[in-house]
Amino acid sequence: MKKILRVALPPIFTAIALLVAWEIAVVVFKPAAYLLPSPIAILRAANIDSHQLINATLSTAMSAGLGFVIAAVVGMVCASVLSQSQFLQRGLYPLASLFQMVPLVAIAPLLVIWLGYGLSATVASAAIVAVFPVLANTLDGLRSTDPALRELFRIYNANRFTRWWKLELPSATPSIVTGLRIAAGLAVIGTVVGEFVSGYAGEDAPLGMVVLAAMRSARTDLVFAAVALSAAVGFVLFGAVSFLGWLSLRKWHASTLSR
Amino acid sequence: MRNASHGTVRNVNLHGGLGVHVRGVSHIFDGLQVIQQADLQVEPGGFLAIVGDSGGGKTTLLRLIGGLLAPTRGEIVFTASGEMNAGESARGTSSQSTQAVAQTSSISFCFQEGRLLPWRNVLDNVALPLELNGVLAHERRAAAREMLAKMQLSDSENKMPAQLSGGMRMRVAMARALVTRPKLLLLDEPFGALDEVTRLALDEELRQLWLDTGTTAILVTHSIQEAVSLAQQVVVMRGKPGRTMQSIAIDLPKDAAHRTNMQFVSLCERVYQQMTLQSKEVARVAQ
Repeated sequence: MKKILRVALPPIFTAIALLVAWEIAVVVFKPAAYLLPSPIAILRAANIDSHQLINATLSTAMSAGLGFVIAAVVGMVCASVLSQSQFLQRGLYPLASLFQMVPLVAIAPLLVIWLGYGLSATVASAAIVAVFPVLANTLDGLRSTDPALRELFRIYNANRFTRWWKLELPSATPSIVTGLRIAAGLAVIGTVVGEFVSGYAGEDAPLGMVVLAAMRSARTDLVFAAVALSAAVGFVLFGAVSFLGWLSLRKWHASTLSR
Repeated sequence: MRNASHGTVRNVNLHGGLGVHVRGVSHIFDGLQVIQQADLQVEPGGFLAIVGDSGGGKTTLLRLIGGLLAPTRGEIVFTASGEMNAGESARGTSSQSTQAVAQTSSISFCFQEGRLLPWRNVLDNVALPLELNGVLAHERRAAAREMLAKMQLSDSENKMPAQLSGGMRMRVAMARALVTRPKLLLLDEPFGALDEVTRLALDEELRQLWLDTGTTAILVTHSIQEAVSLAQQVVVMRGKPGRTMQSIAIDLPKDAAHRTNMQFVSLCERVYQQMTLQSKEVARVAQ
């Protein structure tokens, strides 16, 4: 518990200090509310529109979560397949990297054309940005398996699947966790970009749509509230992945042992 | 190849090691000759040590015997206990016979780095060879527990490798090497990274395990004392490419005090002389 506090308290204090400074700055310099609302004004706006914001947050969290899970599964499966064959790796991996270079904002309209407005397009958008870090890190981890341990499995006549399942995958776990943590943050970015392009208005409009609508009606306080909530979605997803990663590594990996 | 071990690992006859005959084995790796005309012979249940310079081909020879590499020339023949006069029938082409034996898990390796899986606890590390051989979970765990008990490691069965000292890790690695009840145990500098006190203790433990299990053991080591105190015969490997020298028989009483005995010292001296021969003499003395 003491350890947790020691890690958690400094960033919490810093955040509180920044918010207080912001509040004071707004009181002292009195900028127009549509330029920079104060933290308290943002909270008030969030409270008034809480129903809409909660729905929006759930909708965004759903897209980001689904997109993340798809990216995680697709990324790990593809990396595992690629790791088993130099030929496939040479043929496909550069294409996968190229895929990463395509700006998401540019392909989001295509997703709407193919998948229509709504959840499918935002989930696809999240999955597309999140898949590459999972793929790249998993592949890297699978390929960095200790050759001495590979030889050990060869001595025991382990077949390819057994070697992957019992040696390469566990040994790649630290890299996979790193990839998943990066993917968690990216999934939320992908979701919100997807929502900008393919979002839908109404009761359960996602956070991306709330941001757009609030901007158009000069409700900067609501824009801030929605941005903060989308960051919170990313934070929760990141935290959950980090926790699961810690659980799987805590007993053996240097990153968790030495702390 | 007539070999008493077939079927599952657990059927392997506990008492009776494999005899190993290395005849005129050369090995070329990437165009570079690593070993030239190596010869050695170990009787079933015997203990042979190979000593020599770093990079002299000791480890390569061990890997050739274990079937991890195939010799470029020469042959490696295995004989089971009681078949010592049946050399002809036991003869196969080198690489085929090594492969066949390795596949029945009657050969075990123990490496300097231990090579434990860091994400598995001691028990599951020791059970690994059985697991990869398809032995059922409760059976392999029982076998691993039995091995750990024999080595007084039972208290550590739930520990992770990162929680163990270097000496403990090597003992776990030894338990893993022995859990399949191998007929041939190949040890590659197993205690090379340990401090002297731990090393002496583990030498003694290894000797005891060798006596208990009846396995044949081939030990590669840098330490002349370790070789002379453990083995029944010592083979020195010299030069580049590595050649085996005339084997030195060690007939010492293996009691606790033997390392201070005069005979021990003079045997070490003989090994040392072979190890420090000038290169032109190496060619002459080599078998």
